[in-house]
Amino acid sequence: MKYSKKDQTRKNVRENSLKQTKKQTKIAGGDFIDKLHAYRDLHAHALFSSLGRIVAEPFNSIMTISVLAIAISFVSGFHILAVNIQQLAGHIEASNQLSLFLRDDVSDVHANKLAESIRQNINVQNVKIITREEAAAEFQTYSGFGAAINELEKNPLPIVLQVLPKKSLEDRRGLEALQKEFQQSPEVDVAQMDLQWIERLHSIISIVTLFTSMLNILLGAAVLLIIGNTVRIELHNRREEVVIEKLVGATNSFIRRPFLYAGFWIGFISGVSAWFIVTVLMLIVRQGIERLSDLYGGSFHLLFLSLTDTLALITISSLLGILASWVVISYQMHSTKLK
Amino acid sequence: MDGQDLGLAKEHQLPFIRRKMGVIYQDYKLLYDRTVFDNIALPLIIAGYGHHEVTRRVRAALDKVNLTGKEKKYPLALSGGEQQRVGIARAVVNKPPIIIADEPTGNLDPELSAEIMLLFSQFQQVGVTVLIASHDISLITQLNHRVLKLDHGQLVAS
Repeated sequence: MKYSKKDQTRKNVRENSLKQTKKQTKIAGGDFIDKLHAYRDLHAHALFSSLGRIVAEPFNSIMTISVLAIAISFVSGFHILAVNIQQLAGHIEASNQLSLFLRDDVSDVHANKLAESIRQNINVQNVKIITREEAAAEFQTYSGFGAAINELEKNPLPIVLQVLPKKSLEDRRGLEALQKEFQQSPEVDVAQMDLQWIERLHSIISIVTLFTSMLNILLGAAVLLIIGNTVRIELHNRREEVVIEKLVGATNSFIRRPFLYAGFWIGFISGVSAWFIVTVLMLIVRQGIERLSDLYGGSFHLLFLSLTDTLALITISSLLGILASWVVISYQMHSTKLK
Repeated sequence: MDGQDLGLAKEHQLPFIRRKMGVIYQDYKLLYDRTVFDNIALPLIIAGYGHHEVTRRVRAALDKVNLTGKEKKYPLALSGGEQQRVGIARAVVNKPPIIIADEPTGNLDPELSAEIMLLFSQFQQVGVTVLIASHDISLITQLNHRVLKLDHGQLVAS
């Protein structure tokens, strides 16, 4: 009886102390606002201390970031190349016209007669004759080789009949049939579908785009691996610190936080550097391209990375940095059991 | 501990259990690239205390271990005894109910050891459970507290 009473009081004391500690842990660290401030301070500290570490070792940081910036500038360079090629292709409007290049010995009169007979064709809407003189004038205006033409004794350009088929004849097969029909006539040297040019150009562009997007995936993987390796080395160097933090009760997310910020900074700075590299390179080649464009009628203007492109570039490289360090830190924490 | 079976604790609970224990190590386990203040503040920062609370508590802990005025120094600028006192301040700053000291005087001379042990006695006076592992039997007997004697992991005397 006596014993059980003693036990009871002991139990009560223990329960009371338990309640007290619970209460203590509840009020520990001040009120909610204070904790929120503390949380914000933690993030701010991780953000700036990780940047500080990058700056503290300029040689290593510059090497890593340069490699990354070059890889990322390849990606954005490919992108801007694709954008510009597509712009170039966009200027060439898709049309269902046929160009008939007549033989050299066909005279203007004969050509007119031929055009008239073609106009009678039920599938043809209109025919336009481009005489040798007109072709030479056009060539002089747009090609930039006008002087060369004047040097020649005889105009080498053939008469061209531009045939505009009826609207109903939109499909390829109909156009092909029409092309074959014209190819049969003795006056025609070459019957060319304008559509073919555009199709060829587009298929070349799509192959190039596919190839560059595959390269971009590889380069993205390289960026991930480089950042991952950098963070792994950083973790190795700070292993002691991590162990001590764990010993005094740090959670995995506390340990991970500064490394995630380090990954973010590496990605962010590399992204900004890559933008800089691409822009400088484009400024260098711009003059040449504008001059070339002038020679072809000046309709093409070099496109730079747009604001959206730039934001996407920097965001994606920052996210890659965070992702890479997340994967590495999580893997290292599981495999080496930093306990 | 604290009504929780440590044998059943899950891995994700470990950090929170560690926060309820102040552990002191033979080799201090301090961060040598951080000041005394930052070393002691570490458990509080990890537990998410606000700036003012951290400063207040670190000051109190420094005062308890007689290191007031040295918060801006780096651990390497301190003597062994002082470094161990930084370790102790870090262990008690979170006001844990249990303090575990693993050979806390292993690297210290007898005078400093006695000083450290006195410090532990003071914590014990205010209601903290203090568990000290040591092979310095004379030092332990001076304290006049319960001694658990272990031999190859077996309890041989109490």
